[in-house]
Amino acid sequence: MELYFDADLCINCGSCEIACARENGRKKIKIELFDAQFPISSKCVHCEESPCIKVCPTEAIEKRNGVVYINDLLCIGCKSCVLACPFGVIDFEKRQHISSKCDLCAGWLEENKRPPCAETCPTGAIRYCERAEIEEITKKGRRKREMIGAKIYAWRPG
Amino acid sequence: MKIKSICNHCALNCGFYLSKDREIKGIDYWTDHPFNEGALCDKGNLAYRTIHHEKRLTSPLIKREGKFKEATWEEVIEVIVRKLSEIKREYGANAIRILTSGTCTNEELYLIKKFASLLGTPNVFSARPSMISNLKESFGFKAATNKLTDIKNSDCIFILGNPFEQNPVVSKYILRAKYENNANIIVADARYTPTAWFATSFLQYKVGAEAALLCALIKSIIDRDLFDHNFIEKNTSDFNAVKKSIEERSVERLSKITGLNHSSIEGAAMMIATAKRPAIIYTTTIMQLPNLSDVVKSLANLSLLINITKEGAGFYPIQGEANIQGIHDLGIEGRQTTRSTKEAVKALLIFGDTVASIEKPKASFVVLSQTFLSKTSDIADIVLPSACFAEKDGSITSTDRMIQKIEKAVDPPGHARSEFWIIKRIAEAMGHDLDYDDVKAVWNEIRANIPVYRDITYKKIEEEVGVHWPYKNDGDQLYKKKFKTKDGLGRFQHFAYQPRIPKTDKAHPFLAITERRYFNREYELISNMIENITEKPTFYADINTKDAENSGIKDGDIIKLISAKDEVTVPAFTTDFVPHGIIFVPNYKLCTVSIREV
Ligand code: SF4
Repeated sequence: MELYFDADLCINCGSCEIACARENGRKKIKIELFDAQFPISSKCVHCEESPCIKVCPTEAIEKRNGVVYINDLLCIGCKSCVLACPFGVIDFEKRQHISSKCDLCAGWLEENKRPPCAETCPTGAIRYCERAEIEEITKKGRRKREMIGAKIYAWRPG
Repeated sequence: MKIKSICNHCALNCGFYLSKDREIKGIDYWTDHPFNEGALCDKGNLAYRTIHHEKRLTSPLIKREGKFKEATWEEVIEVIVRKLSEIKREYGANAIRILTSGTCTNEELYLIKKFASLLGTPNVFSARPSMISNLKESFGFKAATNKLTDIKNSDCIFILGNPFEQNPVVSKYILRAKYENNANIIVADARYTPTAWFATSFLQYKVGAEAALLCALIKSIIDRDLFDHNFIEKNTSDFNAVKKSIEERSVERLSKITGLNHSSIEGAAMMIATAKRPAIIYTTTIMQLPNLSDVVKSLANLSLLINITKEGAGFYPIQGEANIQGIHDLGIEGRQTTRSTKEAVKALLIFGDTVASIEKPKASFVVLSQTFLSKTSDIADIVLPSACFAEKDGSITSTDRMIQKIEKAVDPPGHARSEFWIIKRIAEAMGHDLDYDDVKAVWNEIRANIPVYRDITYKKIEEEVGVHWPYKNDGDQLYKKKFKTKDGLGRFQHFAYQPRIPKTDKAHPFLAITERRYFNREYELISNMIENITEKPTFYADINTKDAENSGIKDGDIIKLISAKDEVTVPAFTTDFVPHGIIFVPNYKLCTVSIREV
């Protein structure tokens, strides 16, 4: 099972951000609009050799089962990881003064629950499913809003 | 512990579970709910936060010397009874007016109606105007023809409004139709909305030209002879009269009013008319219009013309308040205010957290039942603390006629009570007996009195999730055999298509338009949480880039909108999606405004 984002289906309703913030204490997912009408969501790719892990002075970032994970208790809010990330996916949470990014709801998955963003998404733009299911969809070739090169991409442990 | 619950922030009535220890701790997704399949929008995700909110009212309030003071139930009920009896004696029962809102359950609404008839007043209304009352004459029922889930089978969907932002969860089925069924999506709106992102054909009309656009669509279907003559002849009436009334209007001239190219209107008309399973959807956006009823009538005419009784075709009004369909089913009409009613009202009872803005009638006595103190409370003499959706039992009917049970998960805070209890107590104190032990007894009486609910026993509501009325007759699609009007014929209704919008002038050079994104005042308790999380304001103004440039406003500036009646301060965003001369403000009203930088 993997988490997928389908830009073709996203209506930018904000439900995922709310559900994420509700369960995780802060928003770890972010939907942005490109050209004010094309939703995109960039997320951690869980690099093989993560620069963020290397740069963290307090060893707050670690990799467990392929998932890069920020430990809130150890994070001192120095923003080094924010600068180091080549994809710019780490956000700085001003109010709580810590770095924050999606860790694929590692805790939830261990309990065999689906991530809240996938559960709440009204259109199924965020999906937690088997790869075969996604391949089926892509085979049908229903890319209607292709102008931004929208394609379904997976958020999976590296 | 997991308790089933229904979101009461809009008329889709999505289901979810409340998880409870001693208090409600959070929610779980109800993944096998027949409508939402677990999905919730931003409002639904946070709905549970209102239950233990610190702003909840916990005791009745009474206004003394301009300030609210806490009181006991005995005191306030004594005052209410005394005032009502006085007013009834002096001015007659007609001077008492009762307004209801969609947060009340069917059972509560029934009790309210019964209480009114015991008082002798016929003035029971819904607090907001109705967007479906004109359907009765056209079709027979004031309701959607199908389940909302049937939208996914359509092959052409005409959408007037912006359901993706107003009632987000319904987008599930619209996009399924688009991607799995290759449906054409035609979106009509005055501005470019997220719904329009997905449109095959987007009709951006001039504000106020809704009826003209629909008239043009109807006209071009008639001109091109794309309708089923047999159906029109056998199953409808007054077609020729309506046809004649728009005879001289050419599509070209009508399209001038809408500001659209006539070929794009004709293209859309062809798509709708040739579809096998067309769906017509409209949302509460049109409720701001002064010519609301004309728009609804023309929508009904269009759907008669393309034969909405076809297998799989559908007509879906997506309404606002949670139980607004229940209000209509129980025979409560939408509010109309005329000057004479305003003056005649001496007592106003308002039940439920309505979002309508209500003016205090002169020299009157106003009682309000609410879950928390809001802007509306200012007009009240007495505020009664009411129970929210998780604190009472009963049933509610969603916009597609689905009846669901809501369950009491926790006790109301402090002295707050459900409307059921409140009405019973007031009636008892006035010497009328509303002798019902529980909601079941009321439901049985509703069944006996309201024909569409007849076959739906309380047990069915409890056991089957998502029962749709009428239970058996027509299955799930209404009017399969014939319409439910008196003569069994669908009726074409005359409508005026001329735009009726406020004229801008020098003092107020812009036209503010709006659409409602929340339908329950409890939203005000969670809106700042939503703003904090998404980092986007929920109340803002979208201004055309050129207009902003001319008035020296930059993206993100805070501005003041000044209308003839009031002023509001909002952050302004510049965009090309709003046409020239228009300012879009969600949850506001249709009016002319001037702007000033703060
Ligand atoms: S779409 Fe309506 S009913 Fe569903 S969660 Fe949102 S507000 Fe609640």
